[in-house]
This record gives sequence, structure tokens and C-alpha cells, in this order.
Amino acid sequence: MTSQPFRLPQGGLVDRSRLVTFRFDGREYTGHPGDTLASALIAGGTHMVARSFKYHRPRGILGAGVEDPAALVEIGSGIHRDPNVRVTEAEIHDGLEAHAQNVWPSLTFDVGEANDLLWRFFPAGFYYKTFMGGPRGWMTWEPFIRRAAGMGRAPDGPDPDPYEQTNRHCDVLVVGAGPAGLMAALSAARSGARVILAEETAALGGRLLSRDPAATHLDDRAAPEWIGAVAAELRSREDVTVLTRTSAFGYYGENFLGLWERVGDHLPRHERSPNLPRQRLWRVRAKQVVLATGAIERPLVFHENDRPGIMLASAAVTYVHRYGVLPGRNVLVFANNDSGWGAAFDLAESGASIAAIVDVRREIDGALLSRAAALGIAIHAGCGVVGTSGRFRVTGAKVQPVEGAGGVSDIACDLVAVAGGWTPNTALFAQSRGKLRWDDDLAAYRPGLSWQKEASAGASNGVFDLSGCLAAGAEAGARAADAAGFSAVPAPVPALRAEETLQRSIHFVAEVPSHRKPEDTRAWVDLQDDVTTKDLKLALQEGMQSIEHAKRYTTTGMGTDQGKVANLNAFRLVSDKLGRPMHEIGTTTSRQPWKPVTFGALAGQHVGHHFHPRRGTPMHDWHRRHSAVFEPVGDWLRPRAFLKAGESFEQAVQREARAAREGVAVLDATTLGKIDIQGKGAREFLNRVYTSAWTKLAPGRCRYGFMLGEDGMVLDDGVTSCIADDHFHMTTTTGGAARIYQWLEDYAQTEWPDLELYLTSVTEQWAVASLSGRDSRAVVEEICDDFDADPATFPFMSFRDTTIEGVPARIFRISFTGALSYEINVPASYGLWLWEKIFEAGARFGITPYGTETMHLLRAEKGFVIVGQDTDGTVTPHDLRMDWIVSDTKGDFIGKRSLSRSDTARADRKQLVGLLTEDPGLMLEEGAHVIATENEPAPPVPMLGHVTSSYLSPNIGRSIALALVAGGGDRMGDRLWVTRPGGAPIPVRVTETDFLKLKEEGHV
Amino acid sequence: MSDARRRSPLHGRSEISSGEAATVREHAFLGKLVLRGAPGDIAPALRELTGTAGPEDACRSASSNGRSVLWIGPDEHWLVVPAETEIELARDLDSRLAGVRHHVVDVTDYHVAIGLSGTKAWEVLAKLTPFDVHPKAFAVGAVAGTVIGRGQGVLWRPAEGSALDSDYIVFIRSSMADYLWCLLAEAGRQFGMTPETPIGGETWRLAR
Amino acid sequence: MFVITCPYCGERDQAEFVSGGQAHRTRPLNAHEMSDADWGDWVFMRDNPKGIFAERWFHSAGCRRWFNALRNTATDQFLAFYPMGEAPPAVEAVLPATPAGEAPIGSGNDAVKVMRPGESEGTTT
Repeated sequence: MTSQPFRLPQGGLVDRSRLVTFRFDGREYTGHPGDTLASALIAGGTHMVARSFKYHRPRGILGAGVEDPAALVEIGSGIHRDPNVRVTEAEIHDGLEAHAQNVWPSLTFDVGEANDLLWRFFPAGFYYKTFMGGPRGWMTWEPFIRRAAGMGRAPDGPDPDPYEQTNRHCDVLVVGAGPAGLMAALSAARSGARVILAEETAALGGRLLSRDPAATHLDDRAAPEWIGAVAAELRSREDVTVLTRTSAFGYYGENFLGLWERVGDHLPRHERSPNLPRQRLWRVRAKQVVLATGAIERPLVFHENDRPGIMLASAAVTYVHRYGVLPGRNVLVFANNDSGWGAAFDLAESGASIAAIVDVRREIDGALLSRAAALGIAIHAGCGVVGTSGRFRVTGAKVQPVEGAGGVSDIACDLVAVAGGWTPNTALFAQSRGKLRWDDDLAAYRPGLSWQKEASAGASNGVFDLSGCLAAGAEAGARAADAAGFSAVPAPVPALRAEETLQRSIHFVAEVPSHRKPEDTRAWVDLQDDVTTKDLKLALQEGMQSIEHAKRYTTTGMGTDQGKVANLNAFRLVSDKLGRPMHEIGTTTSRQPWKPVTFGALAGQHVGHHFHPRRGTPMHDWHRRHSAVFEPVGDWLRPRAFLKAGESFEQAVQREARAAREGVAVLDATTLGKIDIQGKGAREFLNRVYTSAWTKLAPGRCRYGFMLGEDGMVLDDGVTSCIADDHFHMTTTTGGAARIYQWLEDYAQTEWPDLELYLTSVTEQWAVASLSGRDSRAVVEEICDDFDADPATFPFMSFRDTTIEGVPARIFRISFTGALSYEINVPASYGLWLWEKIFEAGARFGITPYGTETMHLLRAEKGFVIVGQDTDGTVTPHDLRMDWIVSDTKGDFIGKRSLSRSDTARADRKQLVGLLTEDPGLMLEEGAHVIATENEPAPPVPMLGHVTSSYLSPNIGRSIALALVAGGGDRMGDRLWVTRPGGAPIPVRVTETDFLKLKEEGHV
Repeated sequence: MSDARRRSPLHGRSEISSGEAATVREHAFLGKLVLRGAPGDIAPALRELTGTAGPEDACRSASSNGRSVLWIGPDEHWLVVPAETEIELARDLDSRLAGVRHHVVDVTDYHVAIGLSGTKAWEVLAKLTPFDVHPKAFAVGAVAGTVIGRGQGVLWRPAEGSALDSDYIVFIRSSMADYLWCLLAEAGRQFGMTPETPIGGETWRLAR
Repeated sequence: MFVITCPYCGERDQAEFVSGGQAHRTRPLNAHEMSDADWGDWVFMRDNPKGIFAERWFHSAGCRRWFNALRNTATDQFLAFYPMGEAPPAVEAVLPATPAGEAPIGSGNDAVKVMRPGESEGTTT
């Protein structure tokens, strides 16, 4: 116990029976379970824990919870390092290692402190003004500035901890488990509603835990006992979820809130359950929300108010009663309202000596004066603290009357407890887009007009007395449950025996008046971002008069604490300086998150293996076993090529492409989108969504078609087959499947419901093997039960139903390669069986599996386009020089009118052509620009178009390419050039796109 | 029982259980048909062929003798029937509904049925869907098409007549079944389920 | 995240839906008679009002029906949902007084974060 010189002999809610050992900045400390890092450090006599952002000034512990602005440290190291942790929130456990951050070489000897000596040279807007110039402007300076002005360091590697997200719906969500929140949860729970109670700290009770238990009785029970009974009742109810260590960090639209639960952070790693996440994110949709988020005390703004040992009065009291720690032995209390006096009496009765109560007010309530006198406390009414001393801990304060010419008295102290008034915590209310109202009596904003289904209760609503908080909570909880459809009555408010000195007759000053020259005054408004009153005044002088501008210019409230204690003081200063009322100054915007949330929690369980679905076909395992190299197509993983031992990817593609013409090769085409279309208007529907005519397509026949957008541009393509007069089987591209289905449903449901058709996606009902090559017929005939695949009687663009060992199969004579092809469809559960059967039957032909890269090459040899590769949303069928696919004789179809728009009908539009390099071994780069001159002219280079597809073709015996070229249709045989980086443009010849035909006719 | 040549995408996965809390298993090859048509038009045929005329309300199901009719949309129902009875049922429906505007499509192999049971089954599911799966909100017999994990699926609370002994059934497209299976195992970890690793480890090649 | 009331499935999370842009745009049946300018307007131009906007949504993960909704874009708040083919219902909305103004509450924008003296407290609904 000797290592905890400031631990009080009794009191506090820590478990004194156990000792916890941890280290901070290399030194060993002890504390008890229930301590935060802050309470344990204070018990050990340490107040200085950090350095400030800009000036590297020593920073101590100002608060006792989430409000603390600057007491930030790193916890853990290596991949487990957690930067910017608030010491006032982190719970200690055995073996915990914390380190000071933003210091070098050490917390107490920090080179960056030199910045502080130069403080006059770092005014607001310093960076903007100074570092924009120079040889490369901001870019030159940024790395240096980042290094000097900093926060904690990121972990050294990927986060090894598990996280998860979960979703909850509830009738009533209560945020905050102080007196109001507990009563709200109780009232709502008793009605049978589904209730979630979320408490940010480790224990329920809120401000009740900061009160002297001997002086606070509810229904004749000490506060902790009463809290325990309420908690037990809540936890016993099946439909109530009580969450501690859980922050409601975001209030989004329609009562959607994010809760961030720290499941395991308070435990040493070896004690954490391997089955539980480190942290959990709750995505809650609540019918009603009760915001019982309490109030935050403000510091006072005076010269040298940033030293360690200057602490909120409420925090000092919390350390005494919640943690059993005395934050100072000789305390100077500095207040602008009555609540500071209450803190002084409380501290005095807990064993601290009170060096003085300094109050900016001249008039003080008589009862307070006499109580102070009884305790022997010196009183300095109408005075302010105008300076402090002490390097790493405050050692004294200078006190001076705020008016007149009184002298300065030096008062020794080891703690300055500041009480600047209470700010209702309206962050979530403001996030919900409710409107705040400025309340002069309260000297703060409080919730005014609600926008979402929520209500604020207790201190967050400006009600500070305990009995008022209990009653307001009970009322709000019952009302919320009622509004959610239950019949609730407010839980009876417990009989109260409690003494409290509330905020009364506050004299809210933005800056404590002093006789110092303004230019010599350093009074901090924002302790994290090192913003002083001088900075704010400068911002106003320079025209940043909107509060949002002043904030950004000075960075007030822009740190990781988002100005929880700083903002209102800053708004008040602006109001005073501009001489405009607070409601005209307004507030900055309270944004989500209320406090920093780890990326781990936001990603949840959707990381690593579970990051995103990887869709595989029924044949996927086979592909893996046969050395497939994959590519993602949408969410699908498709084999790109199958590599044989010792073979390169390029060699595999060449081999597969030869086999697909000269022998037999097979592609897994399962991923193609498939839509079953049935209804009396199905044929007319096809007429309207495709550019071609479908009126005459007989059952058993197939047709290739283009779909256009209303803008006339190619949207998707595919083959659709007629099963019966009113029944069709459509295929779409793999990547377009979901989009096209949705698009077709749109037209079917909204434009043409009279066509009375039904669309059903059947993409995954069928496994598809596409056979290509001279020998494909033999393989098909071998596997099918009594099937004649003779191309003469089973013509191109038709299909037949058959069976394979009794399994129903549909075979399409369609081809994307230009070679003899059969596409076999079986129910997907037979997919692997079919695939293996094809390989069995094809073995004697040396059947070759081929992948998507080979498929792309084969179709390019035939001049077939790939929508999305050779088109980009600006290409019409005419641009592809496929006029034949657009029917002029049928009626309207989607995109038809746009094809005759003056711009779409231009003759000099980019058109699809073939390009053959003069050097047949040279392959063009896809995306490379096509130009009309041998040498690349000076920019801007007049460009004719670009290469869309480019391959080395084994079947043509040279490189081939497709390109979109302005007026390309009229350039057949022309010599053009294709640019390349770092080399002379490559000469090419413009050709038709069907390279197989060109070869046949001897043009290649 | 079923054709040994058929293979489910969850072939190779076996039931994961953490006892009372949660169990995940596949209902392999359950027959599934999409039946489109106005509820009034198709009800008589349904009653005749499945023993139930279908649910009266949206987002509900009706089950009888192992055959269930699920409401999917205002003119869409799913029929969920014992394995390998779907082809005959589809044929019978087509002939019974001749002349009535309707559409029957076999989607047996499109969707995989994953069953979840146990006292914590709803909490496992809640980790993966924004839909309210709490037993009070999503009662036995209810159906909902929703988002599950990074995909879409249909959730169902089969009633006794379905002859399916899972508290919840998730229908997920075949290609995502393995992904969801492993995600469910991960979600059940809190209750003692063992993690499983989804398919992966493929060699990718993006550039030429 | 919105809660969207599908006319067929009831209240669902926005994640189940896909937005389809402006509603009540009927595809012209006389496209061939329209001038390039008129046709171009129909294809490329959309309204973007600050205030009540009729828009289309698709229940992609649910019943896969398209339907319409009225949304107040000044406050990002849904006002009504109705099936395709029906006329938009009459709704009340918190609207800006002038086209360039702010709705008195709901946008979260600067002008309406804080109440003016005389503005009455309570709830908006």
C-alpha cells in the first residue's frame, strides 16, 4: 500500500482485497480492481501523463471519465498497441503496460517542449500562413509537422484480435445508467418492453457513484446497494439487455444507434475468453430512445490553466468516492457557481485540506459562507486565479480580485479544483438532429425540440438534482414504453436522504478577468489541441466569425475529444467578443462518433476469410485440384487458365486456345446470368428489351441479342432461347446478372404490367459446361443417352432437351468461340458429376479445360465483343458496326429513339475495328491510344480512340487487337499508330474484326 | 436416399453444435419450387397438391405433411418439399394450373437450406442480419427475405407441419452457402461453436 | 439507415432495398415523334427538389417488387410508401420557407441547430 500514497484508508468502489500491478512509462504502479489508469496513477501520486499536441506542454488529468481532453496514452505495444487511450477510462489489470505518447525522448524530458518557448510564433492559422509557400508548398513541410505535432502511434501490424458486430431491435434504448437512466430502464422494463440499457463505464450508477455513500440514501439503502437491487431486477428480465463498458457513439437516422462495447479490454490477454470478441459493435434500431447521458463540468479559462494538478472539481470528488483516492492534499477550489463549494466541503470532509475557495462572484450564498467558515476554509469572493506555478504538477496559484486594483496573493496548493458550471451532454441529442435551446439560467444549451423518437432525461436535460433526475428518468422510461405500444407507469421514485450543493447563480465568464496584458496571457480553451483565448480572438479579428470557421481556423474542439469540455467556453468567448447572444453564435456540429471507435469494431467479423463471399461453381474444387489460376468476376472466382506443370500462364492460354479449335476444350460457364421468362407477353417483352426481333423465333431456337439503355448505349448481351411460345430462357453476362434482372423487373412491373409475365432468376439452378472444338460433338454424343449431335440436324443457335444417364440436361448449340460448340446445362447439384463425366469421355481426345482468359482470346479471334471491355457505356450497336443486330422493322425497343439522336447518329463516332500490328509479334497494350501520326505530337495529342482488346493469337498466328477508332468503319486498310510509354508509336493496319475470316480469306 | 451423383455445396461440412445453445446443419437437397400467380388463382391447386392453400398473410408460411408454402411476394410463393419430390410436384402443378396464369420454376439447386436451432440461435443470426429475428418478433411460421452477411437470403421459422427440425432455416444461394456456413460458425463462437474456414487459398492472377 | 416500409413486406432496413431514382416518369409512347431535345430531356434530366420528392425503390432482398415513396429531401425523411401505379398520397412535411432556405428542423444544418427565442419546445410529431 505504500506505493499508493494518495489512496484513502477507506471508501471507493475498488476491490481493496486484491492488488493489481501495472506499468506506466517504465515505472511500476499498483492499484485495485475497479481502478482506472487515472485513479491508480493519482493514487501513486502521478498527475502528469502526457504532452500537448502542439507546444508539448505537460498535460495532467482534468476529468474522471470520457470528458478528459488530453490525458491520452498508448496501451500495449507492437501489434497490440492501442494509441490515444484516455487514462480516465482505461481500466487497469495485471501486466498492463502504458506509455506516454508524442514525447521524445521521455515524458519529463521532451525535446518537443522547445515549441513551447516559441509559443508566440505559433498563432492560430500558423500552419496555413507559413507552410503554403516554399519550393513545393505544404508537401515539403508536412512530414516534419506530422512528426512534431502528433498523437499516438498506430499498431505495428495487422490487428490480431477478433471483433464482431451484432444487430438488435428494441422498444426502448436507454443511454446512460445514472440515476435517470436506471429509473428509465426500470420503468420501461416493467411494462414488458424490450429494453437495452447501455452504460459507458464499467459500473452502473453514473453520478451516484461519485457521491459520498454515507450521505446518500435511497429507500434507506446506500447508493451502491440501491443500484445493485435495480441492476439485479433489470438483469433478471429476459427482455432486458444491460450493457456496461458500452458507449452509444452514434445516433443516426430513424432511431438507429451504434453502441461500442469493450468486451475484453479490461482483462489481461490470458484471461480473455477465446470465444469472445475483444470489442463488439451493436447496431441498434430502437422504437424509442431515452438519453440519460448526464452533464459534463466545464473548466475555467485563466492564465496558465493547463498545468497537471488542475482538475475539474467534480472529477476530484469522483476520485474520492468512486475510487477511494485523494487527488490532492492541499486543494484550492476555483468556482463560478455553488457546485464548486459543495465539492470543496466534500473534499474537506474526505481528508483534504482546502487552501482556499476562490469564486469569481462577489455575492455568495450565506449558508455556503457559514459552512466554509465552520470548516475553516479561506474565502476569496470576487476573485480569480490569474496564474499558476509548478512544472509537472501545480504548486501554487496567484489569486487577484477580478475588479478594482487588489493585489495578487500567492497560495500554495497541490491541486486546483475548477468548477465552471455544468454542460448537459447533448451530443447524441444533437446528432439526432434535435434543436438545442440556450438557457440563460443554466448557462448552457439543453435539448429544445426533438426530431427523432427520443427524450432526454435528467442532467442531460438540465435537471441536476438527484430527486429530479430519478423522477425525470422514471417518467421518460414509462413514456417511451407507452409510445412503443406498452402500458407503463413510472417506477416509484425512491425516498431520498441526500445532501447536494447544485449549480446555482452561475456567473459564466468565457475568460477569467485579469490584469495581465492580453498578449502575455496564455489561457487554454482546448487542452488537447493547444488552443488559447488568444488564438480564438485572432481568428475573430481575421474574420473567422462564424463559429464553424473559428473552430476550423483554431482547431478548437477538433481533437479526439471533440471538445467535450472546451466547446461551450469557446462559444462563449466568441459570443462575448462579438457582442452577440449565444443563440446567434450557435454551436459547432456534433457528429458521430461521440468518441473514437476502433476500426476493428467497425469491421466486425467481416475480415480475413469472412471479408466477402467468394462465389464458386459446383466445379470449383475440381478447378482448384487442376491448377487453375483464378480471377474475380463480380463476386465469382472463375478459372482464368489451367496451368500444367512447368507452364507459364501465357503458354497455358495458347495451348488451351489451340485445343478449343483443333481438338476439344471445355469451359465452366455456370456463372452466366440466367432468367426464366414466362407469360403471354414474353415474346413482346423480348422485342422491347432487345434490339433484335423475336417475333419469329421458334421453340427450340436461340438468338443472340443486345440490350441498350434508354440512352441507346449497349448495356448487356446474351443468348435467349425459346422454350415455348410464352416461355424463354435468357442468359446475361456474369457481372451483369443481378443488375439486368432488376432492370428487367423494373420494366415488367412498372412500364408494361399488361404483358403479364413472370421473371425468375435461375442463374444457380444450372451448372453449365461449354464444349468447343472439332471433337466436341463426339464427346457430347458419348455422354448423352442416345443423342444425335450432328450439326446438320442440330443446327447452330438451337437447343435440345435430353438426358445424361437419366439426368435431365439441356444442350445449346451456341458458341462464343466461333468453333463447333455445345453448351450442356444440368441441375447444379449434378455439375461436378457432369464435369467429371465430360473429362472421362473426352480423355481420348485429350480434352482440355480452359479458362476465361482463353475464352476472351477465342472470342476476339472471331471478333465477338465483350460488353464492358470493348464497350464502356458510350458505345451503340452501330458504333460496334453491328447494324444487323438492330431491327428497324419492329416497333419500339429500349434505346431505339436514342440511336437517331444527332450525336448518336454521327458518322465520326468511335467505331470498333480490328488492328493488326505491322510487326506480327508485337502485342498492343489494352487502353493504349490510337493516333494518326507516326510521331507523337506535343500534348494535347489528338487521339482517334483506344485499344479495347489485345491478344497473341495461336490460331491466327500473330497478335490481334480490337479498338474503338473515330470513323473507324471508313478507315479499313488505313495505317495508324498506337502510342506506348517510353517508345515510338507502333504502326498498325485497320481491319475488320473477324480475324478468323480474314485468315480464311488470306488477308492475314 | 438421394441420388449419390448429386453434390451439395456444403458437401464436406458436417453439423456444428454447441449443445443446447446453437446447432447449424444443412437440410440437403430439400425440394424448392418458385410458384408465381395470384394467390386466389393458385390456392385450390395448392390445397390439392400440398395439403395447404398457402399462408393467408404476407411474410408467413403454411405447412402440412412435410410440404410447406412460403409467402415470398404478392404473387410469389416458394414450395419447400421433401427431397426429390419437387419434379413431380412441378409437373402436377403445371397440369393442374393449365389455363390459369401461373409459373412454376424448379430452384432446388439454386438455394441451399441451412438450419439453425438452439436457445441462442436467434442471437447467432442477429449477428448477420439487420432483420429482427428475436423469437417474439419473428414467430414460428414467419418468412422474410432479407440481407444476411454480405449476401441476400430468405429466413424462415418452419412450423411443425414442415417436418423440418430446425428453429430457423436460411435459404442462401448455392455459391454463397459455404461463405454463410462459416460465418454462422464464427457467429456461434460465443456460444461454443467451432470456427470453420471458408473456401479460399486460390491463386489469383489479375494482370496479363 | 432508413426504415423503409415495403407496401408488401412491411418495415425493413434500408439495406434490403435499392434506390431507383425519380418516380412517375412515364416512358413516352410517341418517342419517334419527339424532338431530340425533348427526348434528351426525358432520358437524361431528373428533378432534384429540396422538399417532397417521389422516388422509386426496389425491395431487392425481399419480395423483389418495385414501389414508390415520398421523401422530404430537406430533412431526409420518408413520408409515404405506395405501390406502383398509385397516385402519391397527400402528406404533410416540414419544408423550407423558401427554395434556398432550411426546413425549421431536421436537416441538422447550421441554420437550424439552435432554437431562436420564441420558438416552442417539445417534439415535432
